Amino acid sequence: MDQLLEIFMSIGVFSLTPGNVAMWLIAFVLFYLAIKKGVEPLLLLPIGFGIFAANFPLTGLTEEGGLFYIFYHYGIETELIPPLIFLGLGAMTDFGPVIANPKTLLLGAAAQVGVYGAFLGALLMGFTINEAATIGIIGGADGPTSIFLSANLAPHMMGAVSVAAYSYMALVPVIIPPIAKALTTAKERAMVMTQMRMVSKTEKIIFPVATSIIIMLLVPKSAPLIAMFMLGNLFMESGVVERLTNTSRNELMNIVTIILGVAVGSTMNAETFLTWKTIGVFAMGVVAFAFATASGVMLAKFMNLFVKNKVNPLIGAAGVSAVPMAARVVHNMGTEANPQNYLMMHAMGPNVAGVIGTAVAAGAFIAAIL
Amino acid sequence: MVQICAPMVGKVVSVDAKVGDQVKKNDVVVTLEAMKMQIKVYAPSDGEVAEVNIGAGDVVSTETVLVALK
Repeated sequence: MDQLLEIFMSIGVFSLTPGNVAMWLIAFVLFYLAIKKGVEPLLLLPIGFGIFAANFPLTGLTEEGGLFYIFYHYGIETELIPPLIFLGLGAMTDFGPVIANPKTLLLGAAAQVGVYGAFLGALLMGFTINEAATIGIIGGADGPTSIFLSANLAPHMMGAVSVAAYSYMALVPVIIPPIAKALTTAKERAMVMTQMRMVSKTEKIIFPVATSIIIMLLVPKSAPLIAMFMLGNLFMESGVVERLTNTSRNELMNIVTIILGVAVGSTMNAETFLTWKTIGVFAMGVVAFAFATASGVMLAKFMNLFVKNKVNPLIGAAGVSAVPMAARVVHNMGTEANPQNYLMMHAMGPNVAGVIGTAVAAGAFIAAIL
Repeated sequence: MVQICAPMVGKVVSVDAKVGDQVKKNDVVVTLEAMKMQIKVYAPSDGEVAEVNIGAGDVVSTETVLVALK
């Protein structure tokens, strides 16, 4: 009789909690966003299924030795996957616009003001310093960096932070235009920038090496991300390892994206996710994003007071990473103000600089807090 | 003669004007694809299309003259 009861109780359905079901519903929302709305499907689909599957009772998926535990422990806790994703990003990033117009590096850096703004805001709201830093980094609009930082500082918030980061990135076309418009005049938006100079292959090869030297000396803790980012870029720009370049940005990237998504999703259970803190993460995340956009635009306008070759202040808004979506949004705003205005490549400068900036900001947080 | 160059490196999606067409300033003459985005190239002034040097599928750079107006 006892044995029979035991078998009966090992059926999952009796251990299902309302929290589990609530998390399924969140997973279903992510499925809907990914499949129906096309919101970052490559990430939200695996994250959503990770949430869904991890919230079944008695599966052991997320317990020590379980499959999702293995994904999480070896992929994220050891900080393996985010740098591998950066390798692939590096192999896709053209630093040409930054090299042609190094001023844009400053615009990418300015957007990090949003990161620190949200960090202070979150501190005031009562988050711990580790949590606040993790929330602030959402303003950098860079998924792998957000995950990297939360693995270091606040692993319990990783799920909320990464979903917030990826959702807001998808909302770039909604968040940027009103802010950038409010801060610029129609005349400023219509401004055509001078054609960029051609960048030589030698410059493009020197860039990742020189950037590595500068950044890794200044902010050593950003090295895992920066080193892999620059390696991927060197693969691509050298032109001699096409196989490695292609593997980095295609197969390897896709493989680790699957594991990353499932692992991040599996960290989300009712106890850690269904709390007021998650609401705080989402609220401060959008503040961070708005601050980042605004500070990029303002710095561009400030810079124009001093430089001869003026920049269209809209490109400052592309300093929030979200490559290349932020640059696309900026381009569209520029064309809307003046059809002869092609900002795409100009906006790519602050855009890719923003990725470096966010990785540096994450390294600085780790150095300051740990 | 007004030469319209590609604003950035990209692939031609469609040529939206043909030789002999009268175009007005800010009419679309060519659609490019770059960074997974369609970028419309607009005529900088009124004129008649004198040359079309590219076709759909071509990869163009900032030195490529796409279309010339007279």
